[in-house]
Amino acid sequence: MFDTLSDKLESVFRGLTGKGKLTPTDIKTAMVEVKRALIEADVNLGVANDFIAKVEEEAVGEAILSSLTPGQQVVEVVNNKLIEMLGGESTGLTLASQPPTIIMMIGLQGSGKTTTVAKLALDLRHRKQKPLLVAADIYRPAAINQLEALGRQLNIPVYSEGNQVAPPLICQNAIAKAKSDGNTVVILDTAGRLQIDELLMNELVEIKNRVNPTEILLIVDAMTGQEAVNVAGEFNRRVGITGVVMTKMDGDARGGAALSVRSVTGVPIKYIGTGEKASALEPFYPDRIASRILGMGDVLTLVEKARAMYDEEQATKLQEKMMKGKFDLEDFLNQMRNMRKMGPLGSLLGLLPGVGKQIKELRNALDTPEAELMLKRTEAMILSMTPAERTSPEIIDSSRRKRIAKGSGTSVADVNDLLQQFKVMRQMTQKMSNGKDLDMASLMSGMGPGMPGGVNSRKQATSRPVDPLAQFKGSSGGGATGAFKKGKKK
Amino acid sequence: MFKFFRRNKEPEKVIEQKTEQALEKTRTGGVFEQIGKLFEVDDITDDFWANLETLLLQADIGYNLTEKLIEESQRRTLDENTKRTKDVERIFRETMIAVLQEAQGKAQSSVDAIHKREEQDREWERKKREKEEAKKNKQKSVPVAPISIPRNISADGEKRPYVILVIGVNGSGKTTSIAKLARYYQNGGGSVVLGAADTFRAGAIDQLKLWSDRVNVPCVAREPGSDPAAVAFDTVKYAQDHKIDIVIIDTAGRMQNNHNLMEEMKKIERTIEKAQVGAPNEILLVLEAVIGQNGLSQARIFTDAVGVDGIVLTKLDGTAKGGVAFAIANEMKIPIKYIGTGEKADDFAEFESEAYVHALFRR
Ligand SMILES: Nc1nc2c(ncn2[C@@H]2O[C@H](COP(=O)(O)OP(=O)(O)O)[C@@H](O)[C@H]2O)c(=O)[nH]1
Ligand SMILES: [Mg+2]
Repeated sequence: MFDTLSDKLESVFRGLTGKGKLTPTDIKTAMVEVKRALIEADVNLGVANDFIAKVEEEAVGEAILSSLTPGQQVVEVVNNKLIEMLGGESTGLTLASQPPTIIMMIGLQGSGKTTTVAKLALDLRHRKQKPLLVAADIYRPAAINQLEALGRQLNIPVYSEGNQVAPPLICQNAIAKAKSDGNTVVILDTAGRLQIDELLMNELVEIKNRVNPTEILLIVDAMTGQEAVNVAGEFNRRVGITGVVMTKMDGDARGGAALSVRSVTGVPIKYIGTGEKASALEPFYPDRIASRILGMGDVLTLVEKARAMYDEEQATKLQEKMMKGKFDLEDFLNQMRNMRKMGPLGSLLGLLPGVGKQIKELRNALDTPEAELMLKRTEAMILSMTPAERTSPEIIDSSRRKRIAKGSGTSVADVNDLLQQFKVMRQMTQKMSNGKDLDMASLMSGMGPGMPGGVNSRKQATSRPVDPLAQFKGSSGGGATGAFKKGKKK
Repeated sequence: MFKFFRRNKEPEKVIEQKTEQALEKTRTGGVFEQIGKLFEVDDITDDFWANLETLLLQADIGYNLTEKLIEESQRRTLDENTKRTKDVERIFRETMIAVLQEAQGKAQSSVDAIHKREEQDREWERKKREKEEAKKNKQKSVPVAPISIPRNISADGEKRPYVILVIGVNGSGKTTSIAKLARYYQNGGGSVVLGAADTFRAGAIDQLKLWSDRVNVPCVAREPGSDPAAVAFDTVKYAQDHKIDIVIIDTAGRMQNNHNLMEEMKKIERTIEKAQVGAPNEILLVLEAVIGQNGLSQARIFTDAVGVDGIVLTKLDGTAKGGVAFAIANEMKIPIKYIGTGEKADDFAEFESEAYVHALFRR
């Protein structure tokens, strides 16, 4: 029912607003919900409690109590506070004034150190640095092979002395090598270890003492639970870290560990890892993680993703065409391809705020093999038309229909369906262009049963309009983000 | 159908001892030990329950199970009309054990039932095929050679490789657990072959090969970047040809929300099924103990995709104890089957609810 924190809070406050003013007790009740959201996002309980106390202090004082939408107001305070506590602005990597910059990567087993080493190296090379990677994990089977394979793939040198030399010595030798080879950055890939492993923690301290790193980055898996505070706290206490990289953010973890780690160490989160490819490393933006932790979806990422896929120029042209009622099958095809290019629709819709149950159903409908098949067939049919037919579908008579069906391996009935759907759609776009926003959900429901998200999603589409296109049509993003954007500047 | 393995299962006592040994390593002063200490109080007060709730949440148990555990314990405390901390502690542990055991029992039987039903369906289809085949042969009036029934679908329980598919997100400990599992089955007297179907991650094939050398079992592999399903297929065929008892297939780490990789995994499963009807016989999801509430999402989505028969809970030598695996047992009735307690091949044990819970709270 209430999938997002805002929904939950609205329901908590509903009925209460009637009595004019909310009391501090009402706020306390709301905080229970907030806390629950935080715990479900893996924010450490202790950290969550501190956080709630701070928010409460602020919330009780503000105009929230007399607001008409106290739920939203509270979420806004929570969101702002969260952004603040996550570090506010994004912080980059420090480079040594006197090269080489030495970056030491540390963390638990399986947190993603080696992969991140490669990503960071690639990023630094784009910034005109000359990286050298150092294989200092002599314990895990084939860890050295892994780093060497990555080095080969990216054409970045890897320094290794096999698995018989002590890691501190390897690192020391590597720095000497980097200096003589003119490398400007040295990245040390250390073995994963438990923060309670005395011997191995001492090894890290030893490496640190010998090479005096510019940055010591703790690599933390975004899926980490409550224990993140102890792990990060201990690594920081023993070795002293200068930054954090949250990995595996491409998963569906809400990433509350980010707040926990930031709170106990006080050091900035510098990057997030968003995939297995070497290019999947991004700067950390506190505001994005904040809304993700609160389960409000990562709207900004969505907008960016969509923008990257969507050609602004094409969009403007399309709109112009629509206004003139000249939207044709060619555009229809492009539109479809664009939607598919954005990747599995499911993961994209998951980034939207307030994606409730109904929308999840819609997204399931879109991600089915049937929907995929339908899109492929539609594409085949349009591709079997001549350019003239695509711009003026009216000219498609029965002999043309037969030809198109044959060419696309479909039936005349299929072609008829497509043309019928297109007709409806064109009418709709004309209607909508009369001042109304282009709403993909209603657009699709207007396309009839043949299209994914057709008839059976009509009900859902109207009950909560989701408008992926609106997100990247204008320059300011979707309406849903408005509240939080405002909040950020305050 | 799993008879062969049941015979090889270690006697309960030995398992218990081994679990105890393994669990020694898990005593790292974490939050569960604090829960144990909670019961050192003189009186059971409201504060006690509040503290218990706090610690359970800090153990990644999640709200749902935490509330359930506390409510159940409180109810039973009332039923038994006791206020002695000793009783409350026993009740609490029993409640926890019940959750784990229910998952084991139920999941076991439902998984067995599904396998059985599938087996029956296949048997029926096979017979139909045979009949058709026979008819065709008759029509052609070729002298009928006795139809050689492939060993893997023989109805009379003839031995064939038992195929285990190991899945999970990146870095959870799949490859290491596979080496441990190989050692475990070898110790039980079975022969094992590993399949290097993580053809994606750099160095992954080398890693499994190194392990296979260490535990001294063969490993079937292809070039990096090759089709993982093909590797899985090769491995099953290899086991059939060499009369090997157990096949364990390593797979690349994948995020459960990655559509394409989940499809790839389904394809691996289907291909294994093509290599041997009824296989994979067991699908293990590897979860690391430090994971948070996302473990539930993993269990759900991996189960939807290919079905998960059990969980391997790794890295219990750390301070985290995989509380979310209890939540998974509670909500999805998927049992924990094995635990990993270190980086060596022997740091491994069969999961046993009672021993585990008692070890967790030991102080
Ligand atoms: N401390 C500890 N480390 C483990 C355990 N199991 C696996 N690891 C380590 O976790 C890291 C990732 O393991 P790996 O098997 O490569 O994970 P995969 O990516 O899922 O195959 C390696 O460094 C392993 O040595 C365990 O039970 N305890
Ligand atoms: Mg692996």
